[in-house]
Amino acid sequence: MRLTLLLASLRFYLRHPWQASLAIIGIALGVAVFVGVDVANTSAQQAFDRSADFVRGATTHRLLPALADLDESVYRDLIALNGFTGAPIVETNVSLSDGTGRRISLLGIDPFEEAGFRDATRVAIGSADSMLDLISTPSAALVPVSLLGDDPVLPRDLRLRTETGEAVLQVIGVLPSNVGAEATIVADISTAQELAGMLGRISRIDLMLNEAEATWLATQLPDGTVLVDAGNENRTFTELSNAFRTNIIALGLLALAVGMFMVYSTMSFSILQRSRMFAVLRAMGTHPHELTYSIFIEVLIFGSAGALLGVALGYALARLLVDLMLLTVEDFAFRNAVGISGLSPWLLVKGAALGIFATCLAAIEPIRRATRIDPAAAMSRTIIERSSLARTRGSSIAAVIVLLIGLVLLAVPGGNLVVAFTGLFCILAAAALVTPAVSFWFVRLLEPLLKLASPQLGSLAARNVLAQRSRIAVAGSALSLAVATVIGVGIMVGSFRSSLSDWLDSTLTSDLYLNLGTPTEDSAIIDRLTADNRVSGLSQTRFVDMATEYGNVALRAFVPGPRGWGLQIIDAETAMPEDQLATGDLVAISEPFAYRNNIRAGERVSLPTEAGSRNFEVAAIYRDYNTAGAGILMHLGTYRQYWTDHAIDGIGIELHEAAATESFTQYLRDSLATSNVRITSTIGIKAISMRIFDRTFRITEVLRLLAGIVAFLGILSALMAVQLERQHEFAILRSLGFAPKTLAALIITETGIVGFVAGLVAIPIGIVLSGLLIFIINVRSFGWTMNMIVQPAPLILGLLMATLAALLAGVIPSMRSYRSDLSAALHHE
Amino acid sequence: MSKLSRTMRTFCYCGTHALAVLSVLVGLQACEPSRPPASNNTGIRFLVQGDEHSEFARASQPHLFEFPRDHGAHPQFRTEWWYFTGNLETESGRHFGFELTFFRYGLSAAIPVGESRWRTNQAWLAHFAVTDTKNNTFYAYERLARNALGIAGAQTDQLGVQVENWYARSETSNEPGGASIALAANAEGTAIELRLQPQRGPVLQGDGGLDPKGPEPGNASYYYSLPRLSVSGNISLPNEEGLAVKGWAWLDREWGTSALSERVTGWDWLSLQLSDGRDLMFYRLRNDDGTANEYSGGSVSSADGQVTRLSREDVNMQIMRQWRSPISNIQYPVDWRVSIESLGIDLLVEPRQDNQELNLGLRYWEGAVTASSVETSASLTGIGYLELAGYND
Repeated sequence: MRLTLLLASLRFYLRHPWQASLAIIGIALGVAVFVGVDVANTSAQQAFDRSADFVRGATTHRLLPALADLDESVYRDLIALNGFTGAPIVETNVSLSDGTGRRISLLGIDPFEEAGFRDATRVAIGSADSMLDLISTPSAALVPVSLLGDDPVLPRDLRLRTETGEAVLQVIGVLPSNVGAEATIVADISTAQELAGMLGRISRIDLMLNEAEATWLATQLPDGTVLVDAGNENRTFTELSNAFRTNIIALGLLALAVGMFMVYSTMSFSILQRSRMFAVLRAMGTHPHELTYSIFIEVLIFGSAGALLGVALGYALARLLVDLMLLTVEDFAFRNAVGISGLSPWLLVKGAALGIFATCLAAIEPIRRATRIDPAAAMSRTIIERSSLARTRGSSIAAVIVLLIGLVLLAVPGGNLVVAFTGLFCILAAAALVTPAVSFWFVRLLEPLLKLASPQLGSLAARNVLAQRSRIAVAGSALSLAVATVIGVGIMVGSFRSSLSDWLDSTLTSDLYLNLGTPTEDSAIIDRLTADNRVSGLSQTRFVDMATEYGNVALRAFVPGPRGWGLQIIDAETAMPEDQLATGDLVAISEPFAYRNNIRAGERVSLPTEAGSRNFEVAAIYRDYNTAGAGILMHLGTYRQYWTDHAIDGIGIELHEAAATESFTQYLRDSLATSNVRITSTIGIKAISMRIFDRTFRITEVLRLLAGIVAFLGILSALMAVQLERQHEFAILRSLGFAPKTLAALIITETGIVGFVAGLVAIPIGIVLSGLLIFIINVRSFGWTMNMIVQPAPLILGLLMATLAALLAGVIPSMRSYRSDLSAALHHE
Repeated sequence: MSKLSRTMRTFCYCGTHALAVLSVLVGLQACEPSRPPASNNTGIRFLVQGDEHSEFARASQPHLFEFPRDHGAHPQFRTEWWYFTGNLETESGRHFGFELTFFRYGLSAAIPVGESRWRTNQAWLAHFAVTDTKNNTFYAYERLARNALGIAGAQTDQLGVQVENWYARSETSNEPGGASIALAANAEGTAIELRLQPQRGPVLQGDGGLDPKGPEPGNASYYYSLPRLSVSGNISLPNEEGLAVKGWAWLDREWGTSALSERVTGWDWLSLQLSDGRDLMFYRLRNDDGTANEYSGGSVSSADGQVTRLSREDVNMQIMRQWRSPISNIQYPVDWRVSIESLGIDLLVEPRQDNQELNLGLRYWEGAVTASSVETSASLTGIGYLELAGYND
């Protein structure tokens, strides 16, 4: 009997191959997006981790200079002579003199102290010859394989441009690949000191300390140095990349969810189509279990085929996604180093299991329905439609429950991203549950309008849609949800983009910015600019990377020009926090920094000044979309009071006439030709910033598009199936005198209604989704707030997309209506 | 024996391929007991290619020893060490053993050109071990550092060597025997702070201090010992601080630019301070067939400064018991019968405890021992240190 059932199924799908294909494609696409995202994430993460691990190694703590660098005697006196395990490091950037000018990091190490710290250097210097030569040859270096090109012959020369001028390194060894050292040259600390022009100075000391040692050492620190927990230091970076990954995984899961809808609708529909057959089988004495078993086998086959296809597609997709992800990484060498992680059996199993599980989950309800078919009632569609009405009520109750769960999850304090995403998915699920009811209510609303537009077709089309609702509901919901995602993410990205643009406009108060290259105390440029009558005002900036107990902080010490500080204040104690910054010992902190460390205006931050650590009151929290994250702003006067550093490294120029920016740039370029001052206009900075923004969000766009494609195929499959199934009905209409053209128009109108309504319903869902993304997900991911701006473009785009998808789904059935054999169709059943 | 060769051979047995002293020095290759034996022709670069490094001085001529100058470093030679071992007791008789050794290794004869103060041509390795007999516990640590910036280094005019916060240095003393030696080391709560007073003058080993390592001229080292150093000071363990101790120590000093014979697979070195006032040192170089190499040697010196040189034929060393290390699974011959018929010596040498294997970048057994007469009627006893190297395979 079972075999008979399976053969019956097989015959059914052989007669309806598109139905089987659509189910498989649906699940394959869902799995593909998920697997692609997963592989891409894993690959990028591995590369990030390797690179971080390579530099960090087994380091538990770091002794860092609050500014610039450390005196090398600190290493001897504090670390070596106290018997601590520590590795002195000189780190500098050099550029290759190979025409590319590529920047690469030069890591100066003491090989004797490296033992246990960094695996890669251990491996590389594991031969006595390299080791010996690295120390005793003044210019010896180990380089990543990628720098050698096709010629593996060693030793060889490597020309570089360093802080001290041109230099030639002698490459005596190769750093192993796949250890994260792809963009690092390793040399002895003495060589690095000489190349970096850091005689007597080191960049930092990596340490392996237990808690007692760290506590003791913290009390012995010379002024101007900080002891940082190496785990903490990378926390911000990890949080950021985790947030990024979580966002992307959520999009991948959404694609899978849409894929599930597709399976659900395909399976529901194929069961609906076979309800007569099942009824007959039941009447013949087939047990419901046997029926369940047979359909379950079908589902398993679809699920497995789709999952396997999906895993394969996912791998193809991964490369594209990795490239998109890495668009945000400036370092080209690093980008090249990210390979796609191999086809791990675990991933294969995970992808396949997820696909099969999703398929089975989606098929539970259709299978349940198939086994409950009442043989006597199976002839009557009305009953099925009626029961679907009852289901609508049930789903409304479920929707309310899921919605409440979602709201609770979103309200959970603590800022956990996964919880927030779960909440968000609950809200979306609730929306999906009420979508059918709302949609058909919309259709009823539309009916009079359609009747007005076309008295004959309009009303019929609307009523046909309502009559088919049990078949269309799920596909419609899937379409709505996918379109809502497209709309929601679109609004979020758009809001972010416009907030960023606003922020840049208000932050970049000057017309031109001079980056002085090397910090200077020389006031010659300032004097000259002040004397220039085209200049209306100047701002001065000292930008330092400060190691603090909060991790690395970008500290900007600033003297504003006449146009002011240009801050977008988010939280402040007083109405004019800028005045407090200018006159008092106060600082302003960036929004992500405040969010992450839970600091409010009026509270204090501790910074390592040269006279020891000091608490500064926070006058204001300002918006900062810099990816660096942790930012602190203070007046240059305040800065100089606590740090003996009188240099500046940036000047902002405010001009009397903004129109003269270009000519003034040219003038500066000519007069500063010999120095390494870089001149950028505000317009230029803004253009670059927006370009980086767009690059960062390209992956989001692609995933959004993928989710859209899955949804498109979903609606296509569902509507096509519905329409193709109605050949008999169409034949009747034809025989009643409907011209093929009229019939085609009817079909297209019907599918168009479905699409349009789905798009319409998607708009409010999309707006809610974008609100959740903006006010909850983004804040928790990045610590950024932004203004929510609902522009019409994403809404219209969503509506068009839904309608177009549905219209396209009507094309094949309507073309069929032209050429169908009337009598055959009439005798179809 | 020449601890030079001793150390080098230890290096040699620690790795497998193109074996690299320095990679061992920096702990880059942990010793793997399960690895196949090192092939004899893939020896350490400077061992097999010694001639390429002719820029280093060689111990080819008898040396006119002059102290305290020769207590200081001889950087013109490739390798040099200061090897302190000793047996200590608290007032209540609780026994401790200690080893503190400093190895200097020349990377090149000349200091590389450059302005950085980190430039160097010398590397340092130091080992520090403490045997806590009462608790049958053994502590061993190592340090590596470059000869730069005061992180590690040595004086050349008198005793003064330092690797990070471990050091041995000469201090003025009013006691007979000249300057005393201050010794300090500290790692993870294990620490010694000792003052060593030479009770006897230096004993020149080999031929007036020139100790041959092979038949070739220049394949030798300069070797002397300070065999009887009275010790007082403090010892600390991770959970016991500042125990006052007294006892006896031994200093072995050696420098040179030599190589061991390819046939030698390891050695057993023994130093004993005997109850009749004599001091014994003997090293037995082991050939690959287990026999003693002809360049094995040692001495017995008496309180009045008389030194009797010992050759392979003078000394009979017989294994009485083996011990297998649970960590490395290496079997060490820890009990020995040492007989020197001509000098009336027939002693059973036993370790204070078996567990005295150093599992560091180099793996070897070195520990405190006691000696008792084999003939129960004889009363000769002794305390000292035994080193067992090259048992890795």
